Amino acid sequence: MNGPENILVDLAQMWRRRDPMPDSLVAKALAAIGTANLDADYELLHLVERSHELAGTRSGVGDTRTIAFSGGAFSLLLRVSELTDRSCRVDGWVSPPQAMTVKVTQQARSFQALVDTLGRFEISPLPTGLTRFWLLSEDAADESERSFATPTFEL
Amino acid sequence: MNVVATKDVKGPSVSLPDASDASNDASVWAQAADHFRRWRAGEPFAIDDLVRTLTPVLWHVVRSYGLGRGEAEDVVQTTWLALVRSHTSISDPQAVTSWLTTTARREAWRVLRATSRAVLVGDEVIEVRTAPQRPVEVDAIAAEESDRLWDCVRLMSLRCQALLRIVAFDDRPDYAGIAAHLQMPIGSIGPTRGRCLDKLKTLLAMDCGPRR
Repeated sequence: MNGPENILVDLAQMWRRRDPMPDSLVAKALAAIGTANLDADYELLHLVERSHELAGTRSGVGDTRTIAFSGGAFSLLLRVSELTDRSCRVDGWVSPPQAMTVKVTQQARSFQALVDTLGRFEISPLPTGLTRFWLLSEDAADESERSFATPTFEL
Repeated sequence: MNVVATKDVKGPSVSLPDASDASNDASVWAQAADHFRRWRAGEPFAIDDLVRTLTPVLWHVVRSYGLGRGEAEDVVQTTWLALVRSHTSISDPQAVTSWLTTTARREAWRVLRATSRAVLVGDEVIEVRTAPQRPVEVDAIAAEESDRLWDCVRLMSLRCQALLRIVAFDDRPDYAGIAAHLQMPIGSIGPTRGRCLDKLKTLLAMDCGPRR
């Protein structure tokens, strides 16, 4: 009666109760897939690190987070500083440094900025929320320089 | 934001057997294969059904690796994007679930290594969610059983906890990947799984932990 398979069913039930999937995860996955068709020519970057520095001020304003993505030899580092509880400033660095266009998409909104030849860019203010970064190589003719996209993540 | 309740991850128009009820893992596999086949045949919304069916499974597989909740969400999304990009490499639709769980496991492992954390599961595996909602009437017995099980599971090694969580949600697990992650020889996964289950049954028989 209480064979191993029944126990596994009970265990699955238990973990579902104790550590449930976030309610928004399915919606996020669908949103990511929804834009994926647009990005056939983009190489997907992976999240490699997130860190959080608390500024010690009230209500999180002034907090700074660092989020790093990479894909092959390319990497993107974002420094996110809270401006208000609904907006932030993003300073970005791409490596290797190269002139690129950076596009930021959030649901129906999008923002754009230029990456300078030293690989730096900034976008401010940027609303917080589910966000995706797209980096378009300026020199599409150069095969060594490609275009990149991050997964959708919470800014 | 479109909020989807955990207990009800079904799409509005499809009558799936409850995907959140893993009492029938084989049917999750079969459903997934069917959605995937329909998607590849040109039904664009079939992928939504596939995502709703398998995202809960991917969540638990990834969390068994000890990733934080935010990281686990990223890994699940990356896994789905990988499917969209690489689906042509899956020749048999029946294999879609194992392709996804294997991809999720590799990505979870990659994130752990990239952040220089111990690859072996950490304490986050037993991170307790604060104040689980007090279930009512019908759920009460199941909840009590679940709490008793939880009390026992927490007495086990982290390795046993991780292994049991993986096999509870993935009935055809990739033993090679699990062996690498848990730093065990591949041949010992099966016996270890058996020993962990036996130990759990023993603990349950001894009525571990306080009853509510």
